[in-house]
Amino acid sequence: MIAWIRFLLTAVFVLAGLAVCCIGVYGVYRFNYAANRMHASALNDTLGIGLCLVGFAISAPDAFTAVKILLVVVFYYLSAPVASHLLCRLEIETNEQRDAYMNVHEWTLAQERAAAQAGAPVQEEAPEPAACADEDGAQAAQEEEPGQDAPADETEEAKRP
Amino acid sequence: MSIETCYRALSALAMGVLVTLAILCLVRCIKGPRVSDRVLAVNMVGALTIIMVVVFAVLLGEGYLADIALIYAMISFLAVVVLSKVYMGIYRERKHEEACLREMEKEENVK
Repeated sequence: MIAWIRFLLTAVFVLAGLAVCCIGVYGVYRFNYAANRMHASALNDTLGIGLCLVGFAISAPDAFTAVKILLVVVFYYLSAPVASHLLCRLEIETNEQRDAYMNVHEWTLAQERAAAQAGAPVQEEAPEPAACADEDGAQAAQEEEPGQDAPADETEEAKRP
Repeated sequence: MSIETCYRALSALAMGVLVTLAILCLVRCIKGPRVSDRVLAVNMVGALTIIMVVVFAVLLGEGYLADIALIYAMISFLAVVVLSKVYMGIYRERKHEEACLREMEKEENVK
């Protein structure tokens, strides 16, 4: 009897976890920008893996194995936010058209512009870097105009090196 | 119907769903337009693989497979950290090279 109750609990938890995993993978296909996809993938990383592993810990062969399985969940909960943070930093740092996808705070952009203008003359004496920065800005504005919200995947793929 | 059969059926169902999801993540990893999409897909494949290892640990009744799941979690976290750091470094290096090239072109034009 107890064995059947354990099996039923396991089945409920595992099926719920698999459903959450399916929703997470569906979300990764549905969104079309990495920072949005990160949201769906976090669903998979927290609730999906948590429910599945708790379900299997209920019907583990012995108590020590159950504790080890729960330890995996604890470790994953600690490490997933760090991984997401690093991924987000990678995306923000390497994406040059990021203001076409998200609302970057005006203050941040102004600070970056000020840093670029302040940092450039130190490296070289001529005032050309300012003109160079202006060119970049004009380019970014031109690229921003046609794409309203978020460009489709294909145009993005064409831009990619 | 014995309970062993039920456990086998549940494990088979879980493995089928997880393998399908992992293949879909792999497709996303190949298609993903940017590097961060690819690293994200690799991270998701890691999470699904941990669940697969735990399914085997319970199905076979082997406790040591849980240790393997723990180590796999650590390695998958390390992979994401290293990949994102490496790609940030590559991007910075390329930017630096482009800036140097632009500077050299300008100097030639002046001459």
